[in-house]
Amino acid sequence: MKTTMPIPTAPAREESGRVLALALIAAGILLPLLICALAAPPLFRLLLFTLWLNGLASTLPPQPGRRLRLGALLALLLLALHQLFAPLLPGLIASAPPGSAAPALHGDAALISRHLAAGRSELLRFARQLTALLWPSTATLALALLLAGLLTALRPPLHRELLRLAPNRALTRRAWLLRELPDRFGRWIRDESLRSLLMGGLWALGTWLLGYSHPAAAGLFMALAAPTPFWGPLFAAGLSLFFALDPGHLPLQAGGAAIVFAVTWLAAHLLLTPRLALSRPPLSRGWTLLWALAGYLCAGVGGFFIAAPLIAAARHADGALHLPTPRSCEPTSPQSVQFS
Amino acid sequence: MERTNKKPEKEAGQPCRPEEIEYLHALNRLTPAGRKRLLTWLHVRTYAADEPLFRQGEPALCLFFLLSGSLALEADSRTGRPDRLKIVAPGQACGSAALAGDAFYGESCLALEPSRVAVLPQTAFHQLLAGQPAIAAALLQGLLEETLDDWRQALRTYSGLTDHLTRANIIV
Repeated sequence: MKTTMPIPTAPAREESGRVLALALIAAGILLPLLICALAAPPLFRLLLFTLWLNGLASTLPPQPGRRLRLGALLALLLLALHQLFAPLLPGLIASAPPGSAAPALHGDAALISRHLAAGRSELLRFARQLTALLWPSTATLALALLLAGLLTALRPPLHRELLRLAPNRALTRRAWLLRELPDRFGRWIRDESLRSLLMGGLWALGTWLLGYSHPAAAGLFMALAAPTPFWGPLFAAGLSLFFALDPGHLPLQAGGAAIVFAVTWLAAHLLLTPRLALSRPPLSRGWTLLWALAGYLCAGVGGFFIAAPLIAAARHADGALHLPTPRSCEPTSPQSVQFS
Repeated sequence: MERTNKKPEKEAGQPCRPEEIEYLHALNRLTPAGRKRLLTWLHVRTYAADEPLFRQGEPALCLFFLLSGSLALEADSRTGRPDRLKIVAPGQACGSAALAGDAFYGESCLALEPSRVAVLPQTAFHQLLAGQPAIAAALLQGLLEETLDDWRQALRTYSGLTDHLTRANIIV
């Protein structure tokens, strides 16, 4: 007879030690990337895209034939999208803002209009900097695809060799790390990418229909904010109001944006959450807000966007680095383990 | 003069040779080509006496085939002294939970004497299952046969014991 035994919860490590370990891992992930971004942006883009593609590749189906076909299809799709968007991107994100304040406005309306224009200009500058930092050249993307393909092909022999070189006492720990690291990060990267794509796309479409001045930038912010659970989409929706046309249209456009936001949120939750919920490490809304605000204080809007994903990455790394102690195992995908 | 307390060759694993896996019961159903394919994923490790291979409750990530020496499977008990479930003899496998997906070892395994084992990682089985399911199925069948043998043996011992007790009861 089959019995289902729930996995006990994670070991009760000291909370302060856990937070410190997470902070150290987060710093270990962020600092090399930051140094790379400051010192050599092309290398940073190559590294980032290789890691992203490698994460996506680890979620491809295990059957060699299907894996190869889907991998090639994904690579071609990415190259095609890159070719399509490369000439359009400067126009979409960085076009000159439309007439900032209508000359007929006076009093509070003029003040709001001036604030909106200033905020819009600031956000567009941030979007321009961001796209300049992240948007790869075709050569970089092709090289990243090649590297990710090579790494994917080399993964089984590399895995074998790394496992073989582990000393006896570290065999299970090494096997755990080699299994969990690509699995956790791969699923998380795939799911967050899908969520970002869906929410960013719907939001850009919605704001375009509502007549916002820069729907592409609004979509970009929504896509960047989607990996921050709960607060991210709200923050991005708030930022998008800066792209409303003028104070006269603001209430109407804000009302429309609320409907579009509800549709986007619902679509993401109905289509993605049931399938992808398990890849996101559990983090309470309070902690998420705290981390995101800390990120905002440290590095502005970019800090807000990056804080929660960074903590999620640190939690995934922490889960992969620490072997669950006997009889206190953290579940990966299933909620229970079956023993027959 | 021969040294009695021989140190393990090396702590890291060594590549596995074809002749080493020839007499493994669990691989009986594999064709020579299948064995060759499996061999690329296997490596050999040497464990000293009393050295644990895995502990009860750890995630099951490796399947072990005993090449030489002997292993003991033990389960924690309430008395504090572990219950010895089985002595694994050369040719037999242990840690089959590794093939059951996200499972955990239900018992601890330790070497009773210096022992050599061939290790098959769980990833290898998943790769085989996806790429060459016939080899994975043959491996599973072999392990199932071995498990059934163990089960029959355990039943025989158990029924003999209950029979003995019943007779003793009747006599008393």
